[in-house]
Amino acid sequence: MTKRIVSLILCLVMVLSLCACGGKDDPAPAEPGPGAADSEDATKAPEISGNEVAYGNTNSAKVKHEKVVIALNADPKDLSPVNVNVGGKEVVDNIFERLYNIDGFGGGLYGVLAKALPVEVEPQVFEFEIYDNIYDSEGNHITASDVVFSINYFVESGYAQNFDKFGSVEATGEYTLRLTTSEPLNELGDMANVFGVIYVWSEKAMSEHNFATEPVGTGPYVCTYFRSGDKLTLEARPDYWAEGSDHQNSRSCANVQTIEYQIIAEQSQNTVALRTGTIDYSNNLSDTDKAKFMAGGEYSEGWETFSWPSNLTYYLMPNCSDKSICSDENLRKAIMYAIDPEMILAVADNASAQIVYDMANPKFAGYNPEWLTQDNFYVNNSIETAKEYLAQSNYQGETLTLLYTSGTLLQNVCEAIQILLGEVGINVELKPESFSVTSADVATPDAWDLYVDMMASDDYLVIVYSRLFNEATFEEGQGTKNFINDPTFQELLSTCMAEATNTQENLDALHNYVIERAYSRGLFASYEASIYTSDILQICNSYKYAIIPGGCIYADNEW
Amino acid sequence: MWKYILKRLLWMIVIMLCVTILIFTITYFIPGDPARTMLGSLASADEVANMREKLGLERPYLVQLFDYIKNLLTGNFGISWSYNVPVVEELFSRMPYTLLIGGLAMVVQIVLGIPLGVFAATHQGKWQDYVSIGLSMVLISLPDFWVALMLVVLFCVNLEWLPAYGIDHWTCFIIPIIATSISGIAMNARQARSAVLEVFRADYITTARAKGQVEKKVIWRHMFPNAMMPIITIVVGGLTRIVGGTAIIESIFTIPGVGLYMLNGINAMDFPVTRGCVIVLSLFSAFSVLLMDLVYAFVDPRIKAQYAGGKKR
Repeated sequence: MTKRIVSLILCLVMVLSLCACGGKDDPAPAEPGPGAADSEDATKAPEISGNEVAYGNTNSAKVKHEKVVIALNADPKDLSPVNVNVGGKEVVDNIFERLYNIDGFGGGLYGVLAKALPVEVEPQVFEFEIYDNIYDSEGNHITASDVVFSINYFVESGYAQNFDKFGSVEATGEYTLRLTTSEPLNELGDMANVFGVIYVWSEKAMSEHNFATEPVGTGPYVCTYFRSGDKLTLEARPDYWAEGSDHQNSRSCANVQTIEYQIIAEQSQNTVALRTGTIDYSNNLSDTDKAKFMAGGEYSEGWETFSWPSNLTYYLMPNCSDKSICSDENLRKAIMYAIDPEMILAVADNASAQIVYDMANPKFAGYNPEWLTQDNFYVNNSIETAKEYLAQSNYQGETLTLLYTSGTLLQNVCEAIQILLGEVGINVELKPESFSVTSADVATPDAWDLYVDMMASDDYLVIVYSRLFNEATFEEGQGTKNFINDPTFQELLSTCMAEATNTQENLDALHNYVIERAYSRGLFASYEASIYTSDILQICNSYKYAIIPGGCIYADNEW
Repeated sequence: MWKYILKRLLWMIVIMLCVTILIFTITYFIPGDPARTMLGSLASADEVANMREKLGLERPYLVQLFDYIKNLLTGNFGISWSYNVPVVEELFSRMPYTLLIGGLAMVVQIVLGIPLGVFAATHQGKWQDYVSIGLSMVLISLPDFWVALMLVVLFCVNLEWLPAYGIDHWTCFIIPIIATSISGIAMNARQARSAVLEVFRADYITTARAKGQVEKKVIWRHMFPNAMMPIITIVVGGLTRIVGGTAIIESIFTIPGVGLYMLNGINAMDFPVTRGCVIVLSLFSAFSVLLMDLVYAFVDPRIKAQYAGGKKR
């Protein structure tokens, strides 16, 4: 009898573990759930709701919301302000402050620790002043010498990027500084690259703590708990130096007392966490699950959504070196004309994406809507035209290698490209690799013929071109990312990069030149969406759409 | 016996040295550039070169290897490139979670799996046997991560009994432990069944029955100890999976364990983390194998006699 009871219990335990298979609330159903259609529309044509960043004259709520729990997609790993990875970016900005912040896409700088914008007192020499009442969370007074220390530390850390125009910095007084650049700051984004990336902290605090786990900054929040791989907790500082000042902005507000960042990498776990109410915000849901939280969706009650166009543009790039058959311009044109953007879009991102007509997407300064009406492969793609160009090329049936970083989205896109090129008669083999291997292989001329990836810009459209095609960024002799050695192209790019000559006419010329030579093409730009509790009345995001929890307005806030 | 243990421990030093050289060499020659991975695709060639210099990656292979082994001898596994914290420190803080999940999962596997296998064997050919083995076949075929997600749907979403992730409360570990142990229960059950069946019709069992011993005594006193050897191999062998086998589960349930640490280290090409985790894992495996041999000796007097005699035939 005992044996039977034991066996029954054992069986019951095992059967129970299988019961979940039939659960009605499978987090990743094959078919879209109710409300999917509505939300698909919402993702196709998202409206930017809520505020991005409200600058100036914004003080923290007198009555703060008690706690907000934000899901983080990736482990921040290191909380120091110099080694900011994907998961860490949105966390570190609550703890540390910069001299200047960037004022949105196509915008400029505004002072945070610095009183006013830097003044160029002579060529390549800038002077600026910081506030005299800045204290970090341990009470250390921040002076000009801390600024000098922070900048030099940043440079020596090896993590400084696009910072090569920085020359040196010196303190000229207790709160005044002089920064010298190595070159004139006359290109787009130069001011932001030099002044908009500098976090400042106390030299004394850094000597006493490992900032990777015990960060001490001047920001409105202080880190009270951090366990890598689990979560971190921030508490509003009662002694925040800028509180109540006339230069406080939404980044420096603390409308919530406690911010808890819960690391949840798994998408389905984000859905579960939202449904069980253990988190208040997530932007890491599958398209199917996002739809369920959007208006009319199955789980929409109590939740709000915010959609925005990503600053990433996916592109296809042929290898123009002598080592690849794609050095043949006619073959490149055949490839470009064979690409059907509608099909790419269909497989790309469950329709929550848009076709682009340039290497960058429409949100960036410099994008010309008239590009949509031109006669080129972006607008008039055609298999017949592709075949005509192919006939004029030296292509003899060789197999082209299509390199990309492994992942579902890029896999789908590359398979679609393989099919589209196959229709024209171009053979393609796929070469998916991990990011680290791809980034090494892409710099090797004989490792690939076609490459699909994504590129972001912080501000201006031409920055995307610069990151892909500026010879100065790559190994000497490599030319561009896809091995183009074309002085005319570099001249056009330099003209557009210079602030004085960044005109629409020059941008059009650059855009057209890339199309004429079939050097590369944009494919699509995707949309992102975040889901947040209705307790947040107004979501506050950075200009790159990372949530700023302290700047959000909560239902129980009082001023 | 002590001489044998000492000899094995000395061999372990040699094995660990080989493992260290091997993992160092693999990570050194692996395609890809850690500096590029750390800085991302937007970094310029100069910036990547600077970072390589800073990480010491430009030094010759033998110099790096020698430095690494020298540091290891002082217990220094290096500082993680992505976490910026000493690897040993992080391993110590994460190890308890991994041991908790892996250890308890192993206990569950033994406590449920072995009796289930014995039960199936003693009911060979009957419906209880078919049900047990059928279930084992099903459970062994289910991927851990899928079982984990299904359990989350059932217990966290539908029933709302348990938390879905985290380490805040002891209940957070229930689902990860069940998910980790499911396939092990099935494996243990199958192994135990085969082992018991092998001795089921042995002469000494027939003799014991002929002498009129009760069936319970025949099973647990005569049959089970002789069937233990292959079961021990499976059970103690499972120890090696405790540290390395929970990475996916830790990732799903946001548990800051060693498995997830190693996974993140591999993805980020953080060589100090990858090397440190592999070395600890190997050390753990080497001790497990030593333990297995000692348990063999404890269970089987013939083996103990060989060790005591100073030579192993």
